[in-house]
Amino acid sequence: MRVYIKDYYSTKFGELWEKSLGDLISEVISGLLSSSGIDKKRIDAVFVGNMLSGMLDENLLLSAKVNDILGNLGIPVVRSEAACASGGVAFYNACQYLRAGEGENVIVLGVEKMSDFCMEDVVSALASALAGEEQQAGLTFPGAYALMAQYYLSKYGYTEEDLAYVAVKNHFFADLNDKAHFRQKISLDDVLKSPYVADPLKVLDCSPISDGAAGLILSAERSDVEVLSCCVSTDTHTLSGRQSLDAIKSVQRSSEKAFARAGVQQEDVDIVELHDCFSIAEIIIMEDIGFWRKGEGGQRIKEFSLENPFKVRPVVNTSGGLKAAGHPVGATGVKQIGEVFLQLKGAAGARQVPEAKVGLAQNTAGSGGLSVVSILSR
Amino acid sequence: MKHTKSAVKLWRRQKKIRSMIGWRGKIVSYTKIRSAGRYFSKFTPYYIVLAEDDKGKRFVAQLVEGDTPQIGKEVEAIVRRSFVGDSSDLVVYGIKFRLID
Amino acid sequence: MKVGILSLGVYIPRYRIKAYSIAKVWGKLQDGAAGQFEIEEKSVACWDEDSMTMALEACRDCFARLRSAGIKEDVLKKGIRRVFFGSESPVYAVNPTSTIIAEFLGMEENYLAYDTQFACRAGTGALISGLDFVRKNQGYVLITASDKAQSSPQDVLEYSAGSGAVALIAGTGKDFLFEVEDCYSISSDTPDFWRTEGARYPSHFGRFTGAPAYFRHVVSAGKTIMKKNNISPSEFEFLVLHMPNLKFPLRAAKMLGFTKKQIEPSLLVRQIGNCYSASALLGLASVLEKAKGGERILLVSYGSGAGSDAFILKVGRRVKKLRPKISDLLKRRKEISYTKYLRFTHQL
Repeated sequence: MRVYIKDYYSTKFGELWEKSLGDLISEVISGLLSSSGIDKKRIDAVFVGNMLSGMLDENLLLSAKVNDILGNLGIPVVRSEAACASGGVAFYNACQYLRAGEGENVIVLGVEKMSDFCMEDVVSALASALAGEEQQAGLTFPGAYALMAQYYLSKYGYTEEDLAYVAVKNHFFADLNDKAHFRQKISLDDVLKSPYVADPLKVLDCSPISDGAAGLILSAERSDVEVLSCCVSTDTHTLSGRQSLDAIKSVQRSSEKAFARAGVQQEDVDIVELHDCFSIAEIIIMEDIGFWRKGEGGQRIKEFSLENPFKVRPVVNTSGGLKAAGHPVGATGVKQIGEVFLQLKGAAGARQVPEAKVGLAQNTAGSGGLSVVSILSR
Repeated sequence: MKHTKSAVKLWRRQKKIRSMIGWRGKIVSYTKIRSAGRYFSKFTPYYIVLAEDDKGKRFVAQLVEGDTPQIGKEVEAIVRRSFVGDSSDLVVYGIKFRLID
Repeated sequence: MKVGILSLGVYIPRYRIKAYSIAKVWGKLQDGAAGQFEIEEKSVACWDEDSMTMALEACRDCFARLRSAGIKEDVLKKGIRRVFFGSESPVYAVNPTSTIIAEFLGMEENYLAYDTQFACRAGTGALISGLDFVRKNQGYVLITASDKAQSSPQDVLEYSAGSGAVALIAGTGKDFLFEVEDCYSISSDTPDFWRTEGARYPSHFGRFTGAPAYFRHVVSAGKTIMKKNNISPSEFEFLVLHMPNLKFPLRAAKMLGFTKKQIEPSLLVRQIGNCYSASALLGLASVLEKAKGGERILLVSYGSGAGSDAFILKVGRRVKKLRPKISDLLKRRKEISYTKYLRFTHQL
């Protein structure tokens, strides 16, 4: 069975003090239903992605919570957890469900509520995406990517300034995205002057803590945007178990599979949403997906032009990425698909990439233990 | 990190720690953690080092004694307190690295 | 049946704080407080060290030398029947530190272990029990003496309370680092220095810690063991005494009839302070770096409360191969400020 995306809705991402987890879910569901015009009785299942509601909010069985919000339809609601790829994996599960012919229309929903909790608890909770023994050693989530960044910069001879280009680009785009957490442009200097979190990564190299939710209506019924492929790959839990520190194997494998399944190649892709949880991640992922050769990312990132942002293809992270659009963990994977969807529909407003026909979304879990790559086309 | 309060998990982990004591490796990468979660936040900043032995096995641990890591330098695995928890909790010991002069 | 020590391991933490730095913070430079104990600086354990981690390092040092002397570590560990841990700063009030150390060393379960406390003679007391055991039963005994000394800020003890650890393996045979020819202990109830349950820092009664406490026990134990064995001070190459400061051991040496030259090599207290249960044993380690086979050492420890253990030791022929390299360890030194010192001792 073929899978299509009918509609997309996102809440604002940011510190949404007035909205609870339930409020965010509610907003997305009613937003999707009203903009698509679909009667909720035609929804066959819901796939929810969320990472932290158990650890931080002591609130599990989101399936029942979502069912309440739907008005007790009693349909299957399945929650996926894969740390920062919870949304992407929920999307993957939804695709499998439709391809198996189990239903016609499903909602995919990614949601996260983080600002209700104190910073120390959130930092500890995010570290749970790392292997226990590495958490035990005092490694933090930014620390894991910092180890990759330090290695990458030393090996290929790049500097912290080269990394800073990522945040500058993503803030440029977020400024054009009314749902983004940060709607302000920043300069290289701003990034370089920001305090260190885990050397060499600084505050402005890191994605923020955000609340937010995003949802999609997926359907077996033909529509403009088709999901050509959605593939998942896994790798070791520990950073020390990985084959290399300057490559994320799960990204390499999942994108290889996705390209093969979709029957497209790197040069066909116009628009990409990828998992820039930290600046180094964007550079490494672009290399691992095959858009850039290994080790040239630190140079290639500088090809982006603020004056002519759609010149270099593919255009990456027009939503603002995780860095500037925000990273409500479970919602990110869904937002990425949604941004590609908007681009392919020609509905991306001021950040519209001209003639976008093929798009790719990549969602990473933790330091690379899992990756989801989806390829969409118009 | 509520899992560290589990006496059973600590007890099982002993054996793993024991087998690492005296392990030697060379530094492959490192970072300086400035901001950490509960239990570790009191001790920032500290260095985390990823080291590799001659069999290619890698391990991640804190570097002790305020030394500055450098890629290629050799480290030895020793036992230290992982962090200092609440006064009624079991003491959590773990592997850390010390630079070999 | 000859008994002795097969190997002695040491550990001294890397950090040092100068007495001068302490006195400066408390405005005591004019008082001469920094100089009164003639201790230049003391060793400070890092925040992530404790009496267990230090004892473990000393044990590893102890075993490492046996390995290089050709002794099979596994065989030895299997023969260890007793594991003693002596300290006044144990990790827990209830829960043995001795077994934590034994587990980290990879020992199996067939040993008797206990933690002992008797101020600064906890380790030497356990040593005597260990020697008694091997004399009767052969096999081996592992003894550790380790302290991460705590002192109340602004108290005089702050200048001297250091940290360190020693590990010894006692056994029978002939290839000793040193043989223990005789030991003699005296004990009494003398409340010169104490710490009650739940109290963070120890208390002491000033000058009462001198004549009726330290000197009475050290001199009596030392004189008695020499008389018992009919050996005079001049027949010893070295003297090692417990070192709560520099003045006390120097004065006691005189009272025992020894020269300054005989006690000088042991006086680590100037550089590391009073390492409590490890103090005298670290002094012994320092002496061993200079000792030759066949030479005799008089060792007298002291523990407040009070008691002294005296030992007549004969240095073994393999001393050069088996002795710890304590001067190398002392070279690993990093000076810290008073604020960092407070941070490491969790007082901030």
